[in-house]
Amino acid sequence: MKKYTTLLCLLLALVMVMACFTGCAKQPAQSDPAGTTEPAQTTDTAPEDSSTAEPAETRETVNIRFAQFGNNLDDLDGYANDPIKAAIEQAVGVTLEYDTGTDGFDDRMQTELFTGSAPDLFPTWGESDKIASWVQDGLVTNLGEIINAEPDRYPTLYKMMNSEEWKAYNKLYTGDETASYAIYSVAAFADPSFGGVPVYNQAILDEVNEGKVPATVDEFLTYCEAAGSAGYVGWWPRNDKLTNWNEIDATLALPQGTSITVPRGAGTGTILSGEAGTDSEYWTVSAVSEQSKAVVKQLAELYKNGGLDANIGVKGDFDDAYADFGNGTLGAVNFGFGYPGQFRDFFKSAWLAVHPDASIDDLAVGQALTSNGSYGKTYSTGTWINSHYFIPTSCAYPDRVLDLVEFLASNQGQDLLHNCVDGAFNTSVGSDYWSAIDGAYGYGDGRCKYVWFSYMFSGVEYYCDFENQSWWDAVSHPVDFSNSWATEEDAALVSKAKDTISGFVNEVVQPLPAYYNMVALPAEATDIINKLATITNEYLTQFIGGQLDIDASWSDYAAAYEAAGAAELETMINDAVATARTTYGG
Amino acid sequence: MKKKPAPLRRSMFMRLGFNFYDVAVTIFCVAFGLLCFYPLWYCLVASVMPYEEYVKGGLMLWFKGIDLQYYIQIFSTKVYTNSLLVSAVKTVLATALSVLVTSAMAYAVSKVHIRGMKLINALVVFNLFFAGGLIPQYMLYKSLHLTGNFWVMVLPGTLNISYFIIMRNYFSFSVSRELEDAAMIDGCNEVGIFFRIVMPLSRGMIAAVTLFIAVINWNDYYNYMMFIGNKTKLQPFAWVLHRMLTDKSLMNQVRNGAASLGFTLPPPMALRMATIICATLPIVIIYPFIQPYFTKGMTLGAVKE
Repeated sequence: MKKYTTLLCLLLALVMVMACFTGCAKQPAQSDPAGTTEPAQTTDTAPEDSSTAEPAETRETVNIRFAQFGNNLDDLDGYANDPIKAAIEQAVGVTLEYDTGTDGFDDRMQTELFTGSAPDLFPTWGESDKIASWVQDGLVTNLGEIINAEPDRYPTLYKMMNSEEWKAYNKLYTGDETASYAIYSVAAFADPSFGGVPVYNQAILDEVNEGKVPATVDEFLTYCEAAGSAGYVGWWPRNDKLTNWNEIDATLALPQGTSITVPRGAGTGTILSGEAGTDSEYWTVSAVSEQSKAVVKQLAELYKNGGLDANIGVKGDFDDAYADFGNGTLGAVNFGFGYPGQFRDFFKSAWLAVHPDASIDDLAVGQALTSNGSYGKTYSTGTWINSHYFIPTSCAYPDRVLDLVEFLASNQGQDLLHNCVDGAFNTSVGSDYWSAIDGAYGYGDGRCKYVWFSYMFSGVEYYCDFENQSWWDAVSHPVDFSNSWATEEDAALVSKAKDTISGFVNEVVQPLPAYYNMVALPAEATDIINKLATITNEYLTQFIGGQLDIDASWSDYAAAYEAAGAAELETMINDAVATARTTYGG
Repeated sequence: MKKKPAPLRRSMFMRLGFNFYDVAVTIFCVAFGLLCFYPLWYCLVASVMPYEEYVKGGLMLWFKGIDLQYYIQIFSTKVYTNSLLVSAVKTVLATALSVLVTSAMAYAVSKVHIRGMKLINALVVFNLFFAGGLIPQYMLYKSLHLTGNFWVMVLPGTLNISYFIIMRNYFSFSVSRELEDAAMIDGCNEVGIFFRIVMPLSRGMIAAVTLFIAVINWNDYYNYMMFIGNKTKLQPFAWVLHRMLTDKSLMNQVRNGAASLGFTLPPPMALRMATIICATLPIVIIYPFIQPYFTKGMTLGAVKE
């Protein structure tokens, strides 16, 4: 019996070792990319055989599987009859197969990448360590090599990839400014935007504040208290399940020169002293400062007298709070992060859904508040890193995939993706290449622009003019055509938000130099930030709710912050900023 | 002279046959039951409540009007009807196969006198504790041409190891060996004994296990998410429910569909509640039919003679 037991143990150990080897086995570099889905129409032509002189229309049709996060393929008829997809296929000489997902999407992409089954063009978020490890393991293709070898075939991409800013990203991700392993997607707003501005129920404003939109912190506090006294709830500051102190911060704390939110980096939970872009710049963690204490006292006072929603941290933003607002029991809500389009969406989902006869004047877009004549500052580079797109080394024809990317980067491709008007291509933009299109796939989802490839170059789904601008100018100044094809009512809502915001946005948003996009905090910072977030949630909730006396316990709060490493985090942030300034500031 | 002890005072509860312990246990069980039941009840009430009543908020204990528009909207969306069909087929197939294969294997392995059965048992149980991980699993399914295929939601769970152990122990200790011998003498072979003697005798246990496996299969979407991922026609309903709770695009689709049907734009919450009810109802409906066997299965073998 003992003999069999030993044999069994050996066998099991062998199985475990075999399983480990199977998992770690590296895939052959050129496996069939479409093995998991419908069979691809593969070409016999190897990439190195592709002739630079060969025109697109004579190349053999290949199937390209493209993946993008967050879409859906529910509308099967729309997918089958998608005119824009057909137009791209025709122009590039390929067939397209779309792949998407939300939960589990990143895991599936990585699993497929490691097993040689990844889509021919797929995204991930811009984590530099992940990109570097994929490069090191030989899992993704060096796009720069292919593009630089055939500049005539890829003129737009060649121009983009040889710009100084693009090379800076190469350096950030791989340490080598000539190695381009991804199509970088950079996000920037097309219009001014600002978070922390509430939307008011005009009827409640009329009743308790003589119809006047508060413009200063004191006026806002007075209004909230008056609304509370009149039996309403004054303000829902958008802090669903304690996940978002930033909105309260932007509305109340920043105008008073402090920040009560969790410090997460330069400009978030930190206050700038000195001049940005110079050696004098310094970011201070201010969550436990005396000014923050004063702001928390204001919040506690509001909470006590009904000025602040009593269910802060418990209520859901979109369901409970919006329902209260629609029902007319809530005077003001913070509706989002300041995109003008969010006001339109808020109006329609929270107000119009309950009041079918609603008018645009029922709601008032608020002002950024001032304190002692000063606005709070929101710091931003205006751009941020978004998803990047890769071609796996298992792809049999990376040059053909780059043909597709080149086409989409051209103005023809960008027109096609961003100028679909109510299902028909917008000929007013000037292109006569495309015939009328009678139903853009994805329109039913509330968007008129094409939903696929929309994040590929611009992380906020806007048109980029790469042909006439440098890569950086194009991605940092994208164009939003959406209001030109929106309905009259939708356009009026967006215009109302834009007009209001434009009155103060330049006072509020302070631009930071572009090197702030390259600021990378060390891994230990994440642990500290997580600890501080827990402490903030715990203490602020009890301070505001009245369970803890602010004067008596503020020192405990400050001590907890220090013990969790707030001072170390402050040093890490400033060191990282200084490093980015030295490395990329030029 | 000894004093006569005072007669024991009996409360009304005791006179009726209750004692304090019974009352406490009953209150606790009822309260606990209500705690478990209320969320589902809330979903049901909110899913049929007219929106103007819903936005008034407050505790929802009873229906304030009935409005089935959210259900109409849901069932007017093709994704829902298709995914319900996929889930039903997947659940029936996977459950039937799983019960058949697991019970047949458990029966065979319960025959420890047959050479090699202990080894097979050990190999199966080994998999309960150790797995190769996602990537080997993906490679295996890929080489079996299961990725992107409906059967990846059915076949991998065919042998359920947890229930295999329960069934094996049940067959070992609760099915009379003498009955099997008698059937053998009457000319029955091993397959016949399994289907004509052992399975009918184990009806209670099989019913309980079937219910559990069916619930697992109805609620499962992991295999779809990881190994299919992009084939809309194969979405199980559990995945659609998950998307309704987390993915705005499906919600927008249903809401826009409702608008095209002439309804006012429905609130997301009520639609979510209606979806939860749709996902729960099939299992809730099946449960009473299986419950008698289920109770019997749970108590079988509890008393040893």
